[in-house]
Amino acid sequence: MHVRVENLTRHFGRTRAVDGISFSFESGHIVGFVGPNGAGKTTTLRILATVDEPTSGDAFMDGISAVEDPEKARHLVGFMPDQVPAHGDMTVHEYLDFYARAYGIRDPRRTQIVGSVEEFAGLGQLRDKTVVALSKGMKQRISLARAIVHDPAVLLLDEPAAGLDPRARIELRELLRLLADQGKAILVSSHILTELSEICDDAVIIERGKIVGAGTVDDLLTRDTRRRLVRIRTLASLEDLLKAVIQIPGVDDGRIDGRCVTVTVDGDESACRTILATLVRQGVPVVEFTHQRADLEDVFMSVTKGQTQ
Amino acid sequence: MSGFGAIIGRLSDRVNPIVVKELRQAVRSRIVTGIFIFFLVVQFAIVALALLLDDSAATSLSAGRSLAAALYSFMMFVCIVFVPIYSGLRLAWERSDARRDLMFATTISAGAIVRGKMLTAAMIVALIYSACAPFMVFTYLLRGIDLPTIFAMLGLGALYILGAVQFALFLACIPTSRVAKIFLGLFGLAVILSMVGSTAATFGMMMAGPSFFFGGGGPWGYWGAIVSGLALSALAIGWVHFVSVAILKPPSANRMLPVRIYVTAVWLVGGVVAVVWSILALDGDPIEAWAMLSTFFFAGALLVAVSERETWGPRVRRRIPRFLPARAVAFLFFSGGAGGVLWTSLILWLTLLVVSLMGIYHPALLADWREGLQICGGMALYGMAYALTAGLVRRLLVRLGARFPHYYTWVLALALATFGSVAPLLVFLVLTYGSRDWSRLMLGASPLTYLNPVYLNESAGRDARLVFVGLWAAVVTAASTPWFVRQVRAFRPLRSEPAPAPDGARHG
Repeated sequence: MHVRVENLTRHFGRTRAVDGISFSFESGHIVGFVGPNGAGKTTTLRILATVDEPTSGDAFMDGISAVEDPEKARHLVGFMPDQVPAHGDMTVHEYLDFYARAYGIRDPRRTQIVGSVEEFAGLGQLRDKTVVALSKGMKQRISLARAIVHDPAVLLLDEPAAGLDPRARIELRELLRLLADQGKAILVSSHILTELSEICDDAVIIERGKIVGAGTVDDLLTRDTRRRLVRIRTLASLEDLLKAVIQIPGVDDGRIDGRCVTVTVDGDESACRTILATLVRQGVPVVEFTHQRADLEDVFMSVTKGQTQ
Repeated sequence: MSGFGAIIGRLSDRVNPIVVKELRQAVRSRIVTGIFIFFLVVQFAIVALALLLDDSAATSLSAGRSLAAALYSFMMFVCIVFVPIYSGLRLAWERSDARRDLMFATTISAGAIVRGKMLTAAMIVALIYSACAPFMVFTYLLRGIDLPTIFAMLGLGALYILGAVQFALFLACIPTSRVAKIFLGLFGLAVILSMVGSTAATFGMMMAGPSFFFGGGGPWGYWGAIVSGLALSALAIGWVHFVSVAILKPPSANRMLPVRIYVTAVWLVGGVVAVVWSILALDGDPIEAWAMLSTFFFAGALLVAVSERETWGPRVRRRIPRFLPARAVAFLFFSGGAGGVLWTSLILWLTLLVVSLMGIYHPALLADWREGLQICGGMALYGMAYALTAGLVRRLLVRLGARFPHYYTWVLALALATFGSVAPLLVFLVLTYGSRDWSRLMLGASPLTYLNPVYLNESAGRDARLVFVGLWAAVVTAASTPWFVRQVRAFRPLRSEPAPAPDGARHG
């Protein structure tokens, strides 16, 4: 399965919620869709799920257009929105049974599928409870179960971990990994970037409707970023080291951090090299100079400006 | 699984998923249960009060009729007000932009959604009917009403209710803002309440018996009128159903095809029935009624047609026939502005042709057919003139840089019609304020009323009015010719193209 988003644009009046974005991803990959509130993540996911229509552009699943052939695309897509299930007055089993019927799955296959999906999502014990009576975490599980009930090749998950306790997050992470291993292409939006960096193969960073960064998570983490943390250890006094290093151009900030000094460098790897050379030239006895690897959060902070629309 | 279980499972598979869902929710709904219990209590109270307070109940020849009237009125009020509002509000909530229900992102078809909602409403109505049935049958024992009338009343009532439900669903399907939805809801409520009145009127007519219809036309006239009413109501419900389904379909779909096929079939069958009926009964009323209804309907349909899409995406183009004559027919029936205007105009002029031929070959049937023809022709011309003018103005505005989507052309057409009908008269009123003879110019003969189609009723100056509107329609048709030609040229089947190769880059 190859999912391709092409020049997708969605305007709400004068607001450009999504502004000509393009990206693609494949089966077996989990792609993190990252951005501040109002960046256009939910709108993009809703368009891919055929719940909303773009102003222009299109999205294709193995060449099937979400705009031109939404009915065909719906066979391929499972969507888990950021809202909890709407039909609170149905039992968990009735809810999943309805969606299985809505996807045209017939008995006895339907009974088997709904049963196995309930088991997969850990809902077996709750099948006769009404949806409204369940906790947020359980509702999230129902939402995920509903999204996979027709065994779609593409999964679109909008903030699936929001409001979940740590155990539920870990379980969700495991479920997603399992689904990706089954060959599903998964696009997941989340604010919890540490979570994403652990499970995602790729990431797309969006701000004000435009893509500001994209690639594999490894690429993004090693790519040149504006700010990076450097850890320096010396045989001399830490206070002297801090005084010396803070005066070097390119060093933004510094602090004594246990037995070393951690500084924030505004620049790329050559800026780090300059700082080290300057310290050595000044006779500072440096015994460790480590560039701390950035995480997705650093990358996010580096490429976005925190603007919303 | 046992044989019986397998049969049940197979039957369950055949049931519309929406019906399954809605009924599951309805039986758990406190509103539905509450209304049902309230309904039973009130029905019981009506019967009890009628029997206890009316001393002549046992001897009166109209006691059953009066009680049936009371029970029926209450039942219809509950059904016509509650069921459509319940169905309409649920669908509107599921369709809201903020929380669009995910069933719209499943593979269930738009038609199945509307049919499912209708079927659920019908089942709730059947439930209420079944609760009312013992009370209604009881009225038969009290005399003054016969069983066929009771069943006819219930049947006609059911049709009214389903009509109201379908109308409510239609309003709920319309994609619009929350504020506009509130106004639509209020409008729908007004229409539904007015249907309560018309149901009561129907009931009164049926109670009056055969003498009410056609000046005492006997049982044939009585039942003929009831059957005609039933058929017309069913056809109208069918039309609203097809339009609702079309609205629910994605914009890329060939939305208008089923609607146009349905409307054309109804128009054709209606025309044949009207002509045969007129000739056999030696009465011109059926053909006149058909012509008038058709003209008014299709003149209004022009405003919708001109608001349709002007280009076709791959989905529709894949279904365009390669064979030229078939493509020409498809152009008329497929979604599309120019095709829609041509289809509507064609039916309008064919209607007028049929009336003209009837007037020529059966002059005795259509004594005043020439006047009817003029009114029908005038309506058709006004429809064309306003619709095409609106299209021209919209395209002009777009060329000047305005953002004016094609689907709002009907709003412009209505605005132009309102302006054209009212503005000249207002200007004249202002200019002749204080003068006594201004009212004479309000008559149909005045050129100031030439833009107002309502004045077609006035015989004075009708010929001049027809010439004016005919010229106007001809001018805007000529001016719209490039628009027509552009769409005819663009209406071509999609060439088979190789599937796009996956791009190498993962992102960007």
